[in-house]
Amino acid sequence: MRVRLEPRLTDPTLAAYALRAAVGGGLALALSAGLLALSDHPPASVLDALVRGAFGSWPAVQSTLSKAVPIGLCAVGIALASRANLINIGAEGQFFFGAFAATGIGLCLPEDTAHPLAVALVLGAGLLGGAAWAALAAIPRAVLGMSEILTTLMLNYICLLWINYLVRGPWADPLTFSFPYSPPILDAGQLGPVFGAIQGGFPVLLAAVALLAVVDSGTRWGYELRVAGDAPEAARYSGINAAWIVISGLCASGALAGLAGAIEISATTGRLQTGLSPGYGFMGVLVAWLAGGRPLPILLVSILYAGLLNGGFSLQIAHIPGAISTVLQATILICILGAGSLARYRIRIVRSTTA
Amino acid sequence: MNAGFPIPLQVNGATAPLCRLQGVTKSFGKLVANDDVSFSVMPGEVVALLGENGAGKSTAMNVLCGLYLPDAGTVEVDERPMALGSPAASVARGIGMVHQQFKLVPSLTAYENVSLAVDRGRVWQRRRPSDEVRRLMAEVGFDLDMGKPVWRMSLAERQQLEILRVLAQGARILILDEPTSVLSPLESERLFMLVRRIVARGRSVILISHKLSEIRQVASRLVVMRGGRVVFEGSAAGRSSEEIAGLIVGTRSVSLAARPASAPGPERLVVENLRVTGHSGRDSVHDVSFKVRGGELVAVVGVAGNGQAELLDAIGGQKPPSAGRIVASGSRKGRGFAFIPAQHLGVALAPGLSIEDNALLGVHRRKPFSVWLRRREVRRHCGRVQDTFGVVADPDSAIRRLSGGNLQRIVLGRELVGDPDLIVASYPTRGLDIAAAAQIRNALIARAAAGAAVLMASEELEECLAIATRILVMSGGRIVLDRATAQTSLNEIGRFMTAAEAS
Repeated sequence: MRVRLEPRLTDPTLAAYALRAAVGGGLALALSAGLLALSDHPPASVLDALVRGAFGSWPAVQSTLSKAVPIGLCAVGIALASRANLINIGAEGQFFFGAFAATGIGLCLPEDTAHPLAVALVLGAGLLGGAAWAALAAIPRAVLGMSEILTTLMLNYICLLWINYLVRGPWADPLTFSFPYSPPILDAGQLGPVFGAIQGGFPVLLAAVALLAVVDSGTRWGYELRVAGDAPEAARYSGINAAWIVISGLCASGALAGLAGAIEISATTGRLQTGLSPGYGFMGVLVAWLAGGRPLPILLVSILYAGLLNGGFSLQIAHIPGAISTVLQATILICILGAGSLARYRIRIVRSTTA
Repeated sequence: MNAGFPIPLQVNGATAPLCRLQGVTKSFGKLVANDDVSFSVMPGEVVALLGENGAGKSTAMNVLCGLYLPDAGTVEVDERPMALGSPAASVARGIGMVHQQFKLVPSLTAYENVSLAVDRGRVWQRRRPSDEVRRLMAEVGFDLDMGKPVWRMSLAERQQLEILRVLAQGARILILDEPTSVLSPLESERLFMLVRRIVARGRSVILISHKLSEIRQVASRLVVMRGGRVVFEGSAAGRSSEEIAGLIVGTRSVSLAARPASAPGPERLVVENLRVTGHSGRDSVHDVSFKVRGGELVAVVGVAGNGQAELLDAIGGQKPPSAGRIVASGSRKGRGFAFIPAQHLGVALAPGLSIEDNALLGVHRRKPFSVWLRRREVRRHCGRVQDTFGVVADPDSAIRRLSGGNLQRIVLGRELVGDPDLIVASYPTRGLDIAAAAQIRNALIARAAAGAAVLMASEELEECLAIATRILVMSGGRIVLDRATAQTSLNEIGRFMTAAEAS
């Protein structure tokens, strides 16, 4: 007797996806419980505190949905680029460059600018900033074929150092003494909350998710992204401009990350600071992968991820190391990705026919 | 028919089959690819396995090779059951397959490739062929420079090497999957001589082919499959091509439309002093000039590797010419110019996308579509493409699940939508079964008769003589013969094809 994995010949159905998420999640839960028990924390109470911190009350839910905005926007961008087989690891850098551009506009505008105009200019600057930072990787990729995986990754570090320099040097706010903050942007450029205390960017996230679905199913550009990603030769055969696809795909991806940065400036902190993101751009990569790049799952998984982030904070308040939350994130990722790979195979048990 | 009766077979005095499939059944989802398939192979015989695309030949062979685990049935080698679903077990019991895509490492030499397959357990490779390999080469009569790297070998040499590699692994049942589709007539002759010497010592060959003349030439027995079942098993002796074709397609009749009557219209394609540089830096197309008028169906023929494929790729815009001029009526991006490349998946079709997405490829910038792709219009367009040659499949399913014949039907259907004035088709019937090939030939004839200019490359001379109005023979990258079909013959074409080779 032996166990064989045979590739499935049919595409997995929606039920199969749900099943694999459930199996992966269950496995992740069991593994995490084991790890917690090993580290002398009662699994039940830790998980209870985690879930409570994430979704246990209306304020907790509001806070989770707010944190889902930057994660989700970065993930939508990353998923968009992945249509064209472009791997954007640079959402973090694009996020910060968008935040930088938004802050720049927000500091320059006269105080009496109309509120809607100011918000639009701040967010628009974020879009352009993110796209510009992504273009630094997109153009070498389109012209010279340089791997966008490496360039987008390395550009993250450059951008983080640039922000660090700004908030400690030329843009340091004299009123916050030694804190690495810029001065606040104009009041009119600040995006207020919606539905109580949910961050004002949440409708933008919903719109971005819907936009991804529309690009996928109803636009020529989305179609060309998919063809170029699947078969570059076929793209050339059908007259698709490969350079344009690389540049437009990566820049649109960066624009969404930049928008996430601008929203954080406009709706959360009101000023540029180094601690603006606890790694939203990198979480976006994980979320996009876990969701298989599909629009609705991206929304759900980014909310789940934001919940883990929030739950982690509440663990720290309860004197349980916040690292536990990071361990859980990694466990969930590995389990669901593993279950996802298995979903493409059929498990067969074979009785040996001969000696 | 007689599939259910065990017929006593006697070849070269042996009565026990070398290999026997018994009741092999394999389904993929709802599709039953093999339904109770049974046949046997005697030592020393060449069995032709025949059937249309999708008849279940590949599935049966993949079961034999251990790539598929059947749902039911057994395989016996030397009258002992073989472990199923394990490629290693199949190789150990002496089953070897030469696939259409060779499994050779281009950067290694011929010997290193053989060594990789035979001495896998050794840490150090031997520099020269072992005694066993040399004995095998002498016995079967391989003519190969074993120190030559594979990337410098011709397709025929690579095929010989692949056969040697499989035999060196101890194969006694050699499966050849459409071996002559990449060979010239002369090279095919050499291959058949090799096949005869391989079976002379009690090995057997299973030959998958669509070319009936070859089958009559080399096969001693026929196994015909249709719809996943074996519908005929019997001797090949004394059967005409028509009879064999009838067994393969069943009751459906296959007929060719008449060749378009040559009433030359306006010039639709002008090629002047075209030069294409190949990957080795030498010119693969050398100073070629010709014209194709509306109403003409021009066939480009030649021994494989004499520039035909490169010429068509250059005209289709897949390969930039290094000198010369191509003037075509219409552009590829606009309407009017259809190009069907030799390779479907990956060039004419995006393998990971759906049938619907592929039906749109290249057409997506044309009139009914805009920057918005409306779902209803896309669906309607896909329906038209599928209906052109009758491909029945869910538009949302992945294109790579279609058989080779259906892939070609989708490509042609898509390229012929909008009635192009100029059609350039690279090997449009390669690897297709009789019915599918006839359907595609008829479509090309019909387009030419309606006034379009058609240029096609083909490796089947009989096909070209039957449908083309004019024939161009290429040799050494040049056009060595340009003549109306009515004024030439198979003999003359063959002479010009091989003229440069002989000198």
